[in-house]
Amino acid sequence: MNKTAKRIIAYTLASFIAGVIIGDGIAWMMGMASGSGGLVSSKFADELGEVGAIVAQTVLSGIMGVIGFMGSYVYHDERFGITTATLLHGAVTISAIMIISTLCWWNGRTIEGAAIFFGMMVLVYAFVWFSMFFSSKIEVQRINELIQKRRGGSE
Amino acid sequence: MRIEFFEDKNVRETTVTIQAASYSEDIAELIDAIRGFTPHPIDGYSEGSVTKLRKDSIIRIYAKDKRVYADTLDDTYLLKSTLYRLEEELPDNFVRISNSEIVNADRIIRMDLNLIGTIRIYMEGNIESFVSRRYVSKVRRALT
Repeated sequence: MNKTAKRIIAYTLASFIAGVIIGDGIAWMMGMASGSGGLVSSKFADELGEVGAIVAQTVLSGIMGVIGFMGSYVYHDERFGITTATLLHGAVTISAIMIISTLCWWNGRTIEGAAIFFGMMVLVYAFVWFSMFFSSKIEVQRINELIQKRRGGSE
Repeated sequence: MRIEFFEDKNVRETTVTIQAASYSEDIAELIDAIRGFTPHPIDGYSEGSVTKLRKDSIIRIYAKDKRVYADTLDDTYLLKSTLYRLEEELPDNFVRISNSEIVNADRIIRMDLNLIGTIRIYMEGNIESFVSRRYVSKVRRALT
């Protein structure tokens, strides 16, 4: 097995684990907020049984993590600007999260729940775009100052 | 004309001093010749002829259709080398801005970021290109 294949496997595994932590974390927090507790939604547990629901949620959360990681490739692709990369990554990841959140009952399988979930995800991506865009803007501004200094203040 | 060479290990930049009774056309020509001197010029091919390109005259070097080109204010030249090799040979004022392009930092006019989030670079000779985000900090370091 070559170095690249090893690296891909390691990153996939790490992103799977990160996805599991995030997914199970979301479910746990939602359980705490609703007062039911537990690692999975009670309705999901009713559907698959406690163990089956935990296993399914863990696998689906891991897949969510892997999709998020694989999708982050667009940020490294020179063809895409920050906005395009964020839109592409957001579209793929939010779609995956919406499907998984419905399967795992995180959004209660209601339109309101799905809308809240969707809104939260959009806010996260808006924050990512905002921070990346403005840090780049500041960097470009600094570079322009250095160019002006180098060129002796002439355009 | 007498030529003298003084060795001094403390000198950071090679300095040529011309001493003459007065400034003349010959002296002006000599100064031009010294200014035009460039160690290891790059061979640029254009319309069947080869031109020795002074490195400081190059605005950018880029790869296109598996070939490498250099833009100067006068012309575009085909280079028979790879970007990777050229990057090793070029002085510090040349900086990579993407996987396919190296620019002369002294020839950059300005940069800007558009709403799509791509960073545009404007160079002398009305040359425009894009800077890959991963090379932005390298550009800043090259300009410092």
